[in-house]
Amino acid sequence: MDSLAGLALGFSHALTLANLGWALLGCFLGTAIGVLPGLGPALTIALLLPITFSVSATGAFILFCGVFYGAMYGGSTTSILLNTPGESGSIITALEGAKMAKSGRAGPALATAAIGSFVAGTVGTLGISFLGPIVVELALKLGPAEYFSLMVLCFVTVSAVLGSSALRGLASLFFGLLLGLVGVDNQTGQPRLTFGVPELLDGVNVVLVAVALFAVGETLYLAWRWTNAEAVIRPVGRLMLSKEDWKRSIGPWLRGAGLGFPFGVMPAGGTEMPTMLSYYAEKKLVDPKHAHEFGTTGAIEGVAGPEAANNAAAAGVLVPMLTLGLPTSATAAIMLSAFQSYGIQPGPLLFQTQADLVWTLIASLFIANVMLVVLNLPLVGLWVRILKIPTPQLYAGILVFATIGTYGISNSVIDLVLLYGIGIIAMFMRRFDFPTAPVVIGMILGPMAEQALRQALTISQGDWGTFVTRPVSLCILLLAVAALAGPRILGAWAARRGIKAQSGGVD
Amino acid sequence: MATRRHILAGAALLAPDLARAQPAWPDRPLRFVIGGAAGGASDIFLRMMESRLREALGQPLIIDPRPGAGGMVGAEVAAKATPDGYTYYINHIASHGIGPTLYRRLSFDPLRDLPGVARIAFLPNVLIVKGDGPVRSIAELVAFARAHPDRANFSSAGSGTSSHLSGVLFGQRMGVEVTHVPYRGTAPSMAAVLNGEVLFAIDNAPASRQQVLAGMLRALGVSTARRASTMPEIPTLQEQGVPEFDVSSWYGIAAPAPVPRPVIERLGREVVAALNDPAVAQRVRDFGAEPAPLGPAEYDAFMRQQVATWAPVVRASGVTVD
Repeated sequence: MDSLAGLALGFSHALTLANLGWALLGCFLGTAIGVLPGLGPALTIALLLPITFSVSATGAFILFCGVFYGAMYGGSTTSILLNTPGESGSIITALEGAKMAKSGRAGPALATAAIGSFVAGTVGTLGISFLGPIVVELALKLGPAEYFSLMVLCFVTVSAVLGSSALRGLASLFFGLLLGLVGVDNQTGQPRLTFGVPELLDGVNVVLVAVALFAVGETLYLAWRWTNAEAVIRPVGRLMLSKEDWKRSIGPWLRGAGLGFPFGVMPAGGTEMPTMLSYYAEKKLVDPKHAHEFGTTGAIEGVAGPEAANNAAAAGVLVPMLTLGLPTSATAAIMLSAFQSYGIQPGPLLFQTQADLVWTLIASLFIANVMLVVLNLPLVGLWVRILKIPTPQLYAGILVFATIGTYGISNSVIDLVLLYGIGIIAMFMRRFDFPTAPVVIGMILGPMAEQALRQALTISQGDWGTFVTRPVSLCILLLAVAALAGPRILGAWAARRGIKAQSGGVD
Repeated sequence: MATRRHILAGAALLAPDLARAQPAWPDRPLRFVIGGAAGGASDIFLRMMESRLREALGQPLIIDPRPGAGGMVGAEVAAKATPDGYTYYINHIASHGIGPTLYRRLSFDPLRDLPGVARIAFLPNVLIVKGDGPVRSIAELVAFARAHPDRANFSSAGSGTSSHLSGVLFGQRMGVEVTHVPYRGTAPSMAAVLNGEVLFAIDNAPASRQQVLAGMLRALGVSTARRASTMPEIPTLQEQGVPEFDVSSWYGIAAPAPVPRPVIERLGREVVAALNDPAVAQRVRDFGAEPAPLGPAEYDAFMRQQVATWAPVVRASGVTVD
């Protein structure tokens, strides 16, 4: 069945009143879950699986799609308002988003995140409908060597967040790498840095670290340094996007979506890498008159791009599952077992054997997307009122929220110890002007890069040349070199031309 | 006198309370700790039996996922839980067959602290290669591995998993050197075979079934000694000349050791009865597994025998987790 006919069929099934009701429920649940740092869409869908016994397949899957996309929307809300990322894909959004919230631009930040999520969700879902099989074939051609080169490219993006002192930035990066090493080594089965604590055998949760670094660290720092007796209330500016904001956001939305979708499709891609690359790209591509906003008052491009990348990647994650039966993330794996509950076995022939259900699922992704933006945009005004709470109470609330979110899900005291331990370290980092973003980047990329490197070397039997002899890997590495050296070379070249012009003029 | 009558009446009202001193088990929902993520095989098996067990026991079953360390985090949680008969653990080959030898410094002994209640099912592993790849049979695979030792590699779902040790065992039995490339989970491991990075993998049969049917992967043999009823057209590895190769992943239920024996016996009986129910058995088979009900004592004996079988393979592979 061709894609347009399929979509038409899917919409006809999905647009019934009952199914729209399921979509609404899913969107609410999903947003609520995205907001909480501990709970994710995978666990929620798993907890909802028992309903598959009593609900029709269509209704259940529409519910799950709503939860899935809703979580992406919800994660960015707390990232921006409370500097407490709810999902790993929302961590980069917190960098600029929280700064925007502090300077009274929370409304535009939330609005751009919501609309960007909508644009990206649409692009992603269109991608699933029309480009799915092609992109997945290309994605399968990538092996560990290519993944490692992609990680190298992503490491280059760290240079965008190093801040004023490269030394401190790199120290943060290595701290992040250290945290990423904790756990059982995949190649040898040896536990590393676990100190005999069994809960650490599976590593440290990156969202936990992000919450500890951003929210807890900032709260403790303020508690330490803020001697001002009066409670300051943050200014709350406009709620919606100005024309200027729209113009600045459209490019990042589209670029972010274009970047995010392929990464989501890649088996080992995930949603974090494209957000980093998008942030870097937006920082480099921003109009010079707004460039100073990055890292200070918060640049809207830094929220629009990563949010779009995050959502498009989330949509992309469904492609390998639907076209090949290969689940590439925890959420996809749960959706797979939801299919199995209905006796459907996803595989390469799913589009043929279960065309009805698959197209209804895709149509409901579109519907969930629209529903979420319709629900979230008016709520921006409501969310922003949270910022009207005086600072001491607001931060106390953030601390309680972060603690409950962390402990409530894992029931692990170790997680709380980590949360506050890293929070205290973050407090000192802020005192001494160490940037916190590189820690998170190091933590996410470190283990992935190490694993890809060792897998690539095992397959090539120890030949280091494999990274340059494989054509795709070589291209990506050259891109990384260009990204690193390019701006500097261009800058030096422009300076030389400037000097020549000057001396030419004097002559 | 009125007062005495009132006291006697009051005492009579208290009598039913005394009669209720011994509540029948179970009077609360039962909690099943799972060593993997929600939605995995352990979760699925339990859900297949859930409605039957709920009828038989009168209480719902709650799933408590505690992923990590190949199931050992969940096992530890269950082993240290209050042994009141309401907490159990869905154990499997990783926790009770390979785990005891692999993990050398556990704070508990899986076989002693988590004895078996009932075995649920066998999940065969199947040896898969790329559908349009260079090998089409076991003989060709071995010949290829001998001729191209730099490409004789296999992927697994992680160090210490049954897919890892199956591959090691295969290499040992066939006398050919194969390099292990670990991935995180069955899906990336299959993706590696799909794009030709690795030569083969011996992993979960249901996971690759659809790809095999679509021709993207080729299944060269099942790892059990007898052909699987769900895929009778695939010969066993033993039939094709791999000596003494009988591997399959198994799942079951274990309880903390101090739980009273009658409770374990009762739950074991109900689980076995549920698995003998044709509807449940069919659901298990649809998933690709083989129902294999065993009661508590026999399951204990089976697990001990499995540890003995896997110990030499684990030692030969050189993998340990301290």
